[in-house]
Amino acid sequence: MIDFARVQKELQECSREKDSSGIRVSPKSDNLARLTGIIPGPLGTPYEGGSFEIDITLPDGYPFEPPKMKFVTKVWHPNISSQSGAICLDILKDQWSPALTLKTALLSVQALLSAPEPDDPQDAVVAQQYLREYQTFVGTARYWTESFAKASSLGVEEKVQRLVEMGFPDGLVRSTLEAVGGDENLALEKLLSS
Amino acid sequence: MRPHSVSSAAAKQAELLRIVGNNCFKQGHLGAAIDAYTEAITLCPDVAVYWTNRALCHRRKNDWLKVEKDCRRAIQLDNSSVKAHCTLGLALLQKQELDEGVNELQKALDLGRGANLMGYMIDEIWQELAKAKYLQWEHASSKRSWELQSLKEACETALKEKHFLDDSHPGSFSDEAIISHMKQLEVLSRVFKEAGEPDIPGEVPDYLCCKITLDILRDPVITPSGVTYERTVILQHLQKVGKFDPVTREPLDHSQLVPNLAIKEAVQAYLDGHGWAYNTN
Repeated sequence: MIDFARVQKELQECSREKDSSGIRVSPKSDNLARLTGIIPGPLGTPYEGGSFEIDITLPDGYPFEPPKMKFVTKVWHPNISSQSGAICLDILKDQWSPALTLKTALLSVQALLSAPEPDDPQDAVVAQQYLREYQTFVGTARYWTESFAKASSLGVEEKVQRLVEMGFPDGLVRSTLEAVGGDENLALEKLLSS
Repeated sequence: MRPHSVSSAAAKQAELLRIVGNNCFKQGHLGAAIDAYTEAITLCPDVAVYWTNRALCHRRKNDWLKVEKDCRRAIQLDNSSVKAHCTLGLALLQKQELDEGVNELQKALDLGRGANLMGYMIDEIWQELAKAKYLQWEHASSKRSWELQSLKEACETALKEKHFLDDSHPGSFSDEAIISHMKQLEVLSRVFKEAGEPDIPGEVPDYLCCKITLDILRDPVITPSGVTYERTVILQHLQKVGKFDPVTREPLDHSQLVPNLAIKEAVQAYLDGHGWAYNTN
């Protein structure tokens, strides 16, 4: 049986501290076993400015079993699947402790965004890129943040459309936008100078 | 010795009846169970368990008067019966005898912990006790708040009258008198607000809460790392998750757990002053 009294208390604590931590947790319905977490992308990383949604499912044994977490927001990171959002993090697996909470677990996920561990990857493609072409990795990660993790992400298609209308091929527009982290003006400069 | 063999035969027969009664009880045949225990009691009226078991049947049937009677008899025979004190407590609470009911549950809790009983029973007793204590607090706090409110109004009226009398002296219509009067009213209001604060539900301080349940500690135990947990919960952790301290991750075995009596007393003192903290939801 899930300790729902504890989950209630955790939610209260999260909402009290949401201004200082930036982390938010809310139930999906009145069933407290299914929740949504939001973490802000850490400053000074390609995820800065993004807001990442995480799907949380509490197993029956919670808090004696770790919560199941995965990214809903698409994210480019060596330890997070770019396809499924699955997270490779020890405390969500064999290193779980019941003294951890949803908030501290989400803080750990946030810390993982700051400190990728490419030697223990979840997404091999991303990890390879991180190790071999770090700058490309940063560009892609930033582009994904711009495209998927921002309220303004919806504008990406419009940016593409505007640049295509200027006469640049669609594929080139997309890869250029991606390379400069989604900044339309920088992309235009780059497209004009190439 | 003939009398002895007779009584030992009776004891054997009574024990068989108890087992029959237990089986009936498990299957929900309460009437049959009561009959079996009654026969056992007729054979051996001095065995407390027969009385408490019959009381449990009455409890299932919501026949609380009989519950109380059987439990009282059981306690006369064996004053250390957790079941008897607990069930008697519940019967008294049904009769709205809060204070005595709470006392019985508290006795059951103390005895149960001493005897190292199964956690679930302790938990159930705690839940019932907490519910009753919360009710007690609700009654007492609404009375207190009413008393404070009427005393505050009386004090305010008295202050205003005093101010009026002072004012009626010639030459004392100064602003200072008015300011000091306003100030007194303000202080009065603050004093009464502070007096009522312990009765306003809030957050239990973290240092009185278990690091796993995040709830106020009931039976606190401390680990060699110095972290305090709820006993039943840390035992569950050691069994289900692993043999380590959840906070420090130092190796931990259940034999290393020691009751944290200081925190237990601190919790009791806090609960005595903040009855709302008994609210288990």
